Amino acid sequence: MAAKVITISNQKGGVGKTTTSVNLAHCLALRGAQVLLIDLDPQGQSATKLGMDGEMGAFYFLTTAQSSPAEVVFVKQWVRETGRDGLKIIPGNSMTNSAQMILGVQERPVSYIRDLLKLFVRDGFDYILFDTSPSVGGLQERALWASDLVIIPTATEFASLDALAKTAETLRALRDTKGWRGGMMGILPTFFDGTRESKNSMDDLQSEFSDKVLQPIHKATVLRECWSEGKTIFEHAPESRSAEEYSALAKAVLKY
Amino acid sequence: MPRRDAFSSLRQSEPSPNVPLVPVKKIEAEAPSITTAKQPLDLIPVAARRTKRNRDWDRNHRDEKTTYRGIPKRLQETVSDLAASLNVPRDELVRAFLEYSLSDLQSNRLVIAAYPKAQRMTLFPTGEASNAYSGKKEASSAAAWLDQAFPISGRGQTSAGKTKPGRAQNKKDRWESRATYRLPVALKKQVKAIADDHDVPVGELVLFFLDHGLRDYQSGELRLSPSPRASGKTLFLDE
Repeated sequence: MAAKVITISNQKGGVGKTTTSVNLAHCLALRGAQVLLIDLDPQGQSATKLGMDGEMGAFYFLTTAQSSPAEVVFVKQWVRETGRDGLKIIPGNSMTNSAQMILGVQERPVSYIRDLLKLFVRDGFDYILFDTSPSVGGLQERALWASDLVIIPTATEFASLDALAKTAETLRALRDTKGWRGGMMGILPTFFDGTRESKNSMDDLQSEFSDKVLQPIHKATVLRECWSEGKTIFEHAPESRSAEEYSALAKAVLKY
Repeated sequence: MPRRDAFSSLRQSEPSPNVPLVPVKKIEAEAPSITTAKQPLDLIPVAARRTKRNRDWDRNHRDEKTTYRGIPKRLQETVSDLAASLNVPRDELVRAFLEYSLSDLQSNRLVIAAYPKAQRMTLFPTGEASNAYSGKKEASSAAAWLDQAFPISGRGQTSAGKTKPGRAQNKKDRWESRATYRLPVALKKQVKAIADDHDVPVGELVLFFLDHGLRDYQSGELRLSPSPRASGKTLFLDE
């Protein structure tokens, strides 16, 4: 597959997965790449973050058989323009949860989502990004298996590091038992501030994962303001430190 | 209170069969080696950075690469389509057309008739002092020669030296259309030498040769017969 598939994953909530997904997707698009963001989080907040409404796109993407041209056309209709050059989205909503249950009942293989992505082979995407939900389930597992690269955002606090360890174990299990060929691109420390806990967490990360620890994203009010405005950091505060930090992340992605 | 180890579970979990335990150090020469599990980073699959492409082949074959200007896009596409239909590389087809045209040129079946371009005028055509200034009669004969060489049609001629903007644009577009091929160095040199002999741009000569080769192929005069080339062997034939 020509497009590089990236999954943003961590089993813990509130670590900045959606913020990272949206800002990384937009930054890659600003650098000239064609990017498709697929929101697999039932909260459907990737669309909200881009100033759009959550929709059933992810549900139909996951549950439509794609066995006839009409079905293919139907699924592709859910690829929405975001109003930003090079960035498209398949929005999700609470129905994504139902899709997860359906996949479970139908006993779809772990390669299921990877196979679904063949739909976009000829659409010229350079990157396909999955924003995942903060839980352990069949959908996350299939999304991880579909990916070439996994980025694990981790808030710089003990609880997040603990969840990171669990996500890392999942990755190892996928490789050892399900033949996953992708790999972890890096751990993205988020909500980094000058507190002792934050610094200690960074030290822990660096001592265990050395060069796989990416440049941290500092805790910033501008990132929270983006939510209320429905803008990415590159639209809301392009000169800010946060924008620079997400640019550095995009630059790191381009090296893979 | 000491800080807890967030990654203890990852470190203590059963290593997979793919991840061997590594020997750390030998305490004594006779003692058995002590083994320990790797760090968490060694236990989880990590992505490798994109490696730089090996360009040795390109470096070694740099001389074969050549770019010609003035090859229309349409002709390039026709050649590419034909190469695809013959299942051969495009550059090989270009080479075949060029070699065919060269052989026709050598056997006088193809004639290069280059026209002078009326871009500049000179009073010293041979490069020496000659008839730069002469009598009235000679001057008029020179003018007659000019008229013959570059006839000026009465109609549509607005002012001297002006060409229609559309035509000029087409010519410019064609000139800016480039084609890059890999050809044997000897063939490249031969084509360049002929272009120099006839004082024509090499791109124009290549276009002329390609056009000749393509036309003869389409009329059936030139036959191309691709043959298989073994690129390796297999023990399992496709069904």
